[in-house]
Amino acid sequence: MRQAWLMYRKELLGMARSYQLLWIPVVFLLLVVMQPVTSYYLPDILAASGSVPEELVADFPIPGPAEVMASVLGQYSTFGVFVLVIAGMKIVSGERYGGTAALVLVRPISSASFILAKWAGQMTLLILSFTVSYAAAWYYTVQSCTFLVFLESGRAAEAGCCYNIGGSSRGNILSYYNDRIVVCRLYRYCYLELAEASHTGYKWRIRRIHAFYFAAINP
Amino acid sequence: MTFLRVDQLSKKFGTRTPVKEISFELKQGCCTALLGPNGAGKTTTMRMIAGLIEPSSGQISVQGQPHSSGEYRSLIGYLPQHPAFYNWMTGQEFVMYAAGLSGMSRKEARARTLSVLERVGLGEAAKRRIAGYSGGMKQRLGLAQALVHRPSLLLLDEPVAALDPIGRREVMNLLQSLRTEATILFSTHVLPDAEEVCDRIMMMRDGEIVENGELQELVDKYRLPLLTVQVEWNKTTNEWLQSLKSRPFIQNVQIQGNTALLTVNNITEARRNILNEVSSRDIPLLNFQAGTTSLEDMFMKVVTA
Amino acid sequence: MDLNLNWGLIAPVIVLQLLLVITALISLVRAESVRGSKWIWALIIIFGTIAGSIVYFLIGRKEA
Repeated sequence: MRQAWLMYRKELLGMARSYQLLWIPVVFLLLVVMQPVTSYYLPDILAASGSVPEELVADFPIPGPAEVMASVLGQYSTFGVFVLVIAGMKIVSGERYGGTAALVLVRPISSASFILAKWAGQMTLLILSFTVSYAAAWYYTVQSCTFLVFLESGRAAEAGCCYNIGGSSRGNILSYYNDRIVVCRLYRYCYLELAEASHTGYKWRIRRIHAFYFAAINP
Repeated sequence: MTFLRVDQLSKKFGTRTPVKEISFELKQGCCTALLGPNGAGKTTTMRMIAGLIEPSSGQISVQGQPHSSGEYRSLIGYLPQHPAFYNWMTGQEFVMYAAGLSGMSRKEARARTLSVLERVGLGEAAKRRIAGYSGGMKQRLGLAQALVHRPSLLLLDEPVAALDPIGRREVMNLLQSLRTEATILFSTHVLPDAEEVCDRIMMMRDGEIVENGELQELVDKYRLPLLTVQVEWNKTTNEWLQSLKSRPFIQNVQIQGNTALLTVNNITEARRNILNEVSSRDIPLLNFQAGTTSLEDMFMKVVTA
Repeated sequence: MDLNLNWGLIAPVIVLQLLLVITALISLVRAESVRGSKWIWALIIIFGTIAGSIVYFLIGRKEA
């Protein structure tokens, strides 16, 4: 058992020395962070390509957090698995054909523990990458904050109403203080979207909210 | 005392049988060379003894116990023909790792690692990555990892084949110094290497052991009288050299250009007869020498037979 | 084109991308030897950013 633990530690050391322990989680992070970004910019990208009718672009729904998280999972099953498989492809065969296995297997260890240590090493890498990146996706997409929104012009009811046009589950209005101040619970990427809308005013869904000023407050 | 006993050991790979029912014993504390040309089955034999491949048939017993892969492997130190390491490790880390896998405690492994690395001359390079090691350094690292757990049996597969003369010298000296510590079985295709460090020689050809014995015994056994006759080359002398084959006192003739190497039974009779013929036929003799065959000749004969 | 970049959304992507490229370059500089020439890999990593770095890690490094 001590030998299996030693081999497992050696696997981790090898992954750290070959930078796998760093680059694979970073690639996973990029994968999941890119997902909400692409969803967010998809209407712009479509519009920029020019071949899509403007109405379609305008109506293009920004996906809700659940949808984004689901498509993040989809990314894992394609590209993420590909990266892991390629990176871990030769862990056993490479040792056999490279000749390093001979020096290890000649010692009093079982080949089962040799394989087990390798498997556990790969699993550690997978779990680490998945946890870090999925947590990031969650933070980026789902985690909600409560915001005070100050409307420069327009009406709070109208803002809430417009706000609900765009998507199904992007946030909810908690209360109105008056026509100018709204308390709402938003998802982080909706918050970013609102911020942008406030700066440019070009997204039609929230166009009538001319400008905001907001701060995160503790729920 | 017999340390390792091999009985009717065979290995089949499909239709090929690189090792055919070989049997031998290794005595405790004895250094044995497994000698043979490339492809004779040396590496396969080594790998079977090391427990890396299963024999197709036959048995290996260690200290009287039949081969079972638990206890027995910790008694073995194995250096493969082309040792490969994890290039991202340092020499010291690798040897420590090897020691740990052989069941040594951390503290013991560390102390032992430093001492074996020092011994093979890698004390300075111990903390450097293996990727930067030269071929000779890797071979010595291979030796260090084979020695670190104080094995009773050292299996060294062609330990000097890939080395330059200096590296070869260093490893041979190391082997000399190891003879007192462990039973050694080392394979080589070069006879002088075997003669230098070993007490016993086993010769393999085509998967079979064709000769096995004490070095001195073999030297004596194969010491045959040898006459070297060199003549001025022309048609007559050539015919005469060729005709020597038919003489009853001559065992074997080997002709190289204008020189004939004659293996004979009775040196006195042969010398008299040949010199008589030389003078009676007026053969222009250049050189005539009486000596004995060496182990090298025997090796060449065994290998090329 | 009216494409206003939302830095809050884009910044983490850029940071991660830089992290990946820098890791790849450090690994490249420290490597004893790589498949092919180091200069070509450096160009691939710098201009190929994410994809270039991944390709370098997957096939450029000589693992042992």
